[in-house]
Amino acid sequence: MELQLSYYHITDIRFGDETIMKDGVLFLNKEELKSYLLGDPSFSDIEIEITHPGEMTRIINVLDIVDPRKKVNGDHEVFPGWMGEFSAVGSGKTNVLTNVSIIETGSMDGLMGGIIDMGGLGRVYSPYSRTHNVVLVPTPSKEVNAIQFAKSLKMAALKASVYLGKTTVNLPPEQMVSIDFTSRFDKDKQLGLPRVGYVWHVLSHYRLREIYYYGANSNSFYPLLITPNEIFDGAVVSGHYDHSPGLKNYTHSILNHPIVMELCRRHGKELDFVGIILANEPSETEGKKWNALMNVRIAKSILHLDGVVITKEGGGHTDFDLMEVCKQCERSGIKTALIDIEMLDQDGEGDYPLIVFEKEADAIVSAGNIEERVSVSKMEKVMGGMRMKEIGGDPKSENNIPIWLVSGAINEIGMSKIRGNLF
Amino acid sequence: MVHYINQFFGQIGGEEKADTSPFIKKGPIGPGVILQEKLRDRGEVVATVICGDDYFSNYSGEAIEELLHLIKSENPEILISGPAFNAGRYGIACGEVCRRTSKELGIPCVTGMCGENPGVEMYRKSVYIIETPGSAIGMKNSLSRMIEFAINLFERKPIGPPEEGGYFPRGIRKNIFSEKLASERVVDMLMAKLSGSPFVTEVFNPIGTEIEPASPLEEILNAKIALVTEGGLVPKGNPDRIEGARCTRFGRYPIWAKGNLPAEEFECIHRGFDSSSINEDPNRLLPIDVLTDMEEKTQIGKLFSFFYSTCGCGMYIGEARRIGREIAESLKRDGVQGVILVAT
Repeated sequence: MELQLSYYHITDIRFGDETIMKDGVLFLNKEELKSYLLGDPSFSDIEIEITHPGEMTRIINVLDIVDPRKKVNGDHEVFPGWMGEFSAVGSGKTNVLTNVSIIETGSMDGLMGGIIDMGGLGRVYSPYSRTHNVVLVPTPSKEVNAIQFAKSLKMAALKASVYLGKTTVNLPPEQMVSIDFTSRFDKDKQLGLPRVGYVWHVLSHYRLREIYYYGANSNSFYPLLITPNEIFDGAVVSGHYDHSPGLKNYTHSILNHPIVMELCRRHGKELDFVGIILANEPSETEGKKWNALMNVRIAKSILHLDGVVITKEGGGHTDFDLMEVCKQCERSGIKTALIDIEMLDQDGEGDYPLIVFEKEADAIVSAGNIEERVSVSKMEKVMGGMRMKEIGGDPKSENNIPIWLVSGAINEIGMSKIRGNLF
Repeated sequence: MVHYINQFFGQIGGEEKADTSPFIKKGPIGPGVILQEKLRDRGEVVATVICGDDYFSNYSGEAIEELLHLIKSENPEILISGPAFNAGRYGIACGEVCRRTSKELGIPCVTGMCGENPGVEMYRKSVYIIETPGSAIGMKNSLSRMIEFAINLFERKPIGPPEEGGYFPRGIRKNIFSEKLASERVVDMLMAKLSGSPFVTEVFNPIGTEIEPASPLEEILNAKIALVTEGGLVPKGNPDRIEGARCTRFGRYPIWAKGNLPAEEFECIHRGFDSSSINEDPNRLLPIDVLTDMEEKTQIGKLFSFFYSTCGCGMYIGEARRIGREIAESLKRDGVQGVILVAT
């Protein structure tokens, strides 16, 4: 199964009369996009703003981040289950704009957001402080509840993604990457390299805290085998609207999944990238043990893996899922390496960075102490609302906030350079 | 700068003079001379404070007060102690002098010793201890590294991780920017593991404190049993403002009578899970209905008329310990003998 990804690097975004890309500059017809998105009755209005790296702007109530992408062959479209005809994705050609992000913001009871500072002290933590950002600021209609609003906001961002992605059609890309993926279950056909897989835990507990796979909430799923190709075509999308900004993976990081990309890059050279197991994190212990068994059974008896990378999504209780899979894999002869966040206090003190620890977990990469405080500067402008309950007071003020509040600073699937170190 | 040393390095004598009581001399003495050389024109060792290792060990309360008094009299901006290398009593004295001076004068204090010195385990958390070899052969190099570190502290330069600064890890975690994304590092780590190459984990298995459980109840039919939970069940409106995450408080609330509808009076504020089933019927979190039955059937002595509630979502361990202690003390005052701890 082959997918050709074509990347288009944007150097600037401006509002213009036509939505078009010219010499690396993306022009956006605000009124056209606005009326397209206002077709959804969940919104009584929507503001669309643009902000650039270096501006003293704080985006608040950040709920998700998406990049513009579009399939350019046949009838298939990215984000199956949301856009285009419902079909399997992951083959053909997909165009992606880089250096530009679409930021979903929203403020309603029952939603929990983060911040992105484009300038000042706080700009160093998030990759989204370094991209040109199109900020969607919808106003919920009177009758709409948080669940409906969140679903509509997700749809709006994905629509905006494809709408902007369309500007790349027939233009030459800066870079092309080919993802050629074939699951090799048959051990006889292996490449003679270590067989490596990835157990990707996603959190789908209840509405507003869920992951979508082909547009369906993955809460009741059993562990699934999926391909890298589908991920890059938007088969997995975040529905986390009431979840700590540091404990969820933004759609942007999923679409550019760094671990999957890394394994694809090394495939055929130092490892045989065999497969990805997409697994839910059940809310009860029995379910967690059951899922772990399923994951390991697939890894061992179906994929015949030598080694596996394991990540989690969420807070303390998901350490159980992470550690249970690690322990069972190691005991069955599969070597493991994990990424985990550290949950200490703001001074970095505490005996237990993780809630559950198994002695088999001897290879853990740190995604940082989520509680460490960072200073953010006084801003000139705010986008995404007038107030944010997580920071209180004037949202433009300077502040000292936990790093988990900065959208994108902490990322459990490896898209960050922030790590904890012993001092 | 003031330099603290023991009777041996202070050129008073060896073990026979280890009971020397604290005194002060102007200028550098013994290794202090090397200290002054390394310091160059950036500062001056104005005085040396000396104390016998035995005196410090036997009269540590008085000794430290006397030493602080002497140190304060010179009004230093930096204090250097030792280095103590592998001398245990000396290392402990150096650690305590640094700790107290830093606390009371607010000045940078640095000492040095080797890994086996008991002073390391006792003081690494509160004092910067530069790692030295086991003997005084390392004197020049150790003093040089100690003075440079102290000057960086004095100039408020950011202190790098232990492997760069040459000090014993203090046991705290701080975030840094790595050169590579975590995704690259995790695949690197897996490949090293698969090929049998060395690798270093970034998060360590913690050495937990063992908690000894209380002995089982001898006679449950006479026992007063209480319910304690971290499930965040509070009276509607949350009058004590118990936080739904990173909680620092607990509440003590009356249990409900059988037949009452607790859903009308209580709510669950825990941010870690979907609490709607608890909100529908709080008996699902605190099985007061079942326990009231058991009390009537004399299967337990008595169900205590209050329950304790806090919220465990993302609770700092330090806070958990404190809250646990406070709840335990309160339970003892209430005459409770056994507790059912409901976790979520």
